[in-house]
Amino acid sequence: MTAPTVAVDSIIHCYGARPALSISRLVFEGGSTAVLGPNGSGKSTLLRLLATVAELQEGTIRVDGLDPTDQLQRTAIRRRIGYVAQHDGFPTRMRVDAFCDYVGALKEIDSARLRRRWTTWALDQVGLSSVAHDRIGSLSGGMQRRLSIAQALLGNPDLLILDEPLAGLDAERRAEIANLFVTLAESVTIVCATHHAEELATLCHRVVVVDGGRPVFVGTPGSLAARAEGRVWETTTAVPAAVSRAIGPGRFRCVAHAVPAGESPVPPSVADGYLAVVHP
Amino acid sequence: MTIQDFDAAMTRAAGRPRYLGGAGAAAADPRRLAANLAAIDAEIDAPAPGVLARILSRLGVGEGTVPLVTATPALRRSWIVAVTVAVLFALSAANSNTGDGVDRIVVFLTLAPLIPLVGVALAFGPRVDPTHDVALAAPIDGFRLFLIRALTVVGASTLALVIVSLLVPSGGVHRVAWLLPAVAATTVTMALSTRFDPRVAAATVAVGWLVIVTVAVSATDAAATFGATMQVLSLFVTGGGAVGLFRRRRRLDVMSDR
Repeated sequence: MTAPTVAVDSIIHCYGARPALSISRLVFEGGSTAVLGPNGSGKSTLLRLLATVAELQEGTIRVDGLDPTDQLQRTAIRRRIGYVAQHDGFPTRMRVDAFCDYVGALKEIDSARLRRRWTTWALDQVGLSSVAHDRIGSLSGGMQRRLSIAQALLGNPDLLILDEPLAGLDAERRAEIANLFVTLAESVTIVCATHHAEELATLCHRVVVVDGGRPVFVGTPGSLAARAEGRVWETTTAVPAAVSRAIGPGRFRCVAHAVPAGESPVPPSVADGYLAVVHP
Repeated sequence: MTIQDFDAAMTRAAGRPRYLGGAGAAAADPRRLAANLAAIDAEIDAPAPGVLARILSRLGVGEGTVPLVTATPALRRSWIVAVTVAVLFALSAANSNTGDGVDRIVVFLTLAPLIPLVGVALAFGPRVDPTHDVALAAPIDGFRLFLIRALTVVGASTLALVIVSLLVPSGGVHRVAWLLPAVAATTVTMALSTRFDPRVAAATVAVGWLVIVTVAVSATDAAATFGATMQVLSLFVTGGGAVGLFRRRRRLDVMSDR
C-alpha cells in the first residue's frame, strides 16, 4: 500500500454562522505537510475534516479517491488513518497499555496478542514502555501527549493526521518525536498542524500556512523562508513597526516589509517566512 | 490486521528494508529482532485479564469486543455512581412510602425505567466520552460501538434493578413491571441519540415518562397504570424506537459537531 493522496476541493466549514475554513484546492501527496497558522486560523478544523471526525458541510475530500461522505468509503479511509487530536482526552483511571488495547480494538485489531504487540511497539516508539502498566492519570502532560501519538501509530496507518504533536513535550522528547516523524514520512502521508515552525515544519516536505480560514501559502519550507528574503534583520531593541521576537538577552529578530537603512539583512528562516506571510 | 502488517510497521520504524540481503542470505534486521523480543517480554509481562474480561471470554465474547465492553465502565465510571444513587433513591422512596403495598411499588416502578437512561446518557457522545474523537476516527462501526456500550450499561443497571426489585417489600408480580417500560425508554433514548446529544435524549424521555405516569396514576390506580396496557404499549414503543435507531444508525459514525 502506497502513501495516500488527499485532495481537498471547495471546502467551506462554519461553526454556527461563523465561517471557520474556506479552501478552494489543496492536495497532500505523500510525505509530510506542516500546517502552520495563528490560533483560530482553521488548522484544527482542517485536520478534523481530513480525519473524518468533523462532518463535511460543503465541498469534497478524497483520500486516494475515497469519499468520506459515503459510509463504506469512510470506513475504508478510517482504516488508513492515525489521528492525534488537538486536546488529549483519556479515561484517566485506565492503564496505559489497556488504553492502547482499547484503541487497538477500535481499530479492528481483533487478536489480543497482536494488540499487545502493537501496544509494545507503539509505546516503545514514543518512549513510554516503562509506564505501560501505570494509570494514565498518573502521567505528566507531555507523557499523555506521547500516548496520543502512540495510539495513532497502532494498526499501521498510512495517513497520519497530527494536531500539535509536540505540544507540551520537553526538548529531548520533541527531538525524538521529530526523528520518528521524519522516519515515518518516508512511507506514509503525514499532515501535521504545528506552531513549531523551526523544529517540525523545517522537517516537512511541504508547508501550508492557513490564516483566517484560508490557505495563504503552499510550498516547501525553503520557499516559505524565501518569502522573508531581504526582510529580516537582528537588532538590540524590539521594533514596533516590525514583527519582533526575542532571540536572546537584548537581541531581537525582526521581520518587516524591508530592512531599515543602517541594518543588515540576515538569512531568513522558516519561522521568518511564516511571519512574513501572515503579516504581509 | 495481520502479523505481516505488524512487520511492515517494524520495517518502517527501522527506516530500511527488513532484510539486509547479501549473497542470497537474508539477515534479520536488528530492530525487528528487538521488536520481537519486546513482544515476547510483553506477553510475559502482560497483566492478567480482569474478572470481567475472563467472564466475557468464557461466554464466548470475541477478543476484539472484550476491550470495548471492559473499557466502558472505566470510561464512564460516573454512570456507576449515578446508577447507584438512583437505585438507592428508588429503594428508599419505595420503602418510605406509608401507603399500601401497591402504592409503595408505584414510586419504584416510576423511577426504575429511568435508571438505564442514566447509563445510556453517560456512555456515549462527544461531550461525555474523552476518547470520542479517537473512536470516531477509527474504523469501528459507530452503531456497533454504541450498542456495545449501551448494552453494557443497560445490562449492569438492569441487573442492579432486578436485585432491587427483590428487595422491594411488596408488589407481587408488579415488581418487575418496570422492565418493558425500561426497555422502551432506553430504546427511544438510543434512537433519539442519533439526532441529539444522548444526555438531551435521555432527559427528554425521562420527562415524557414522568408526565405519562403522573397523568395515568392520577386517572387510575397503580395496578392499571403498570398493567397490561402499559406493557403492550411499551412493546410497541420499543419496536418503533428500534426501527428509528436502525434507520438512523449511520449518524453515529459522524456525531461529532453537534
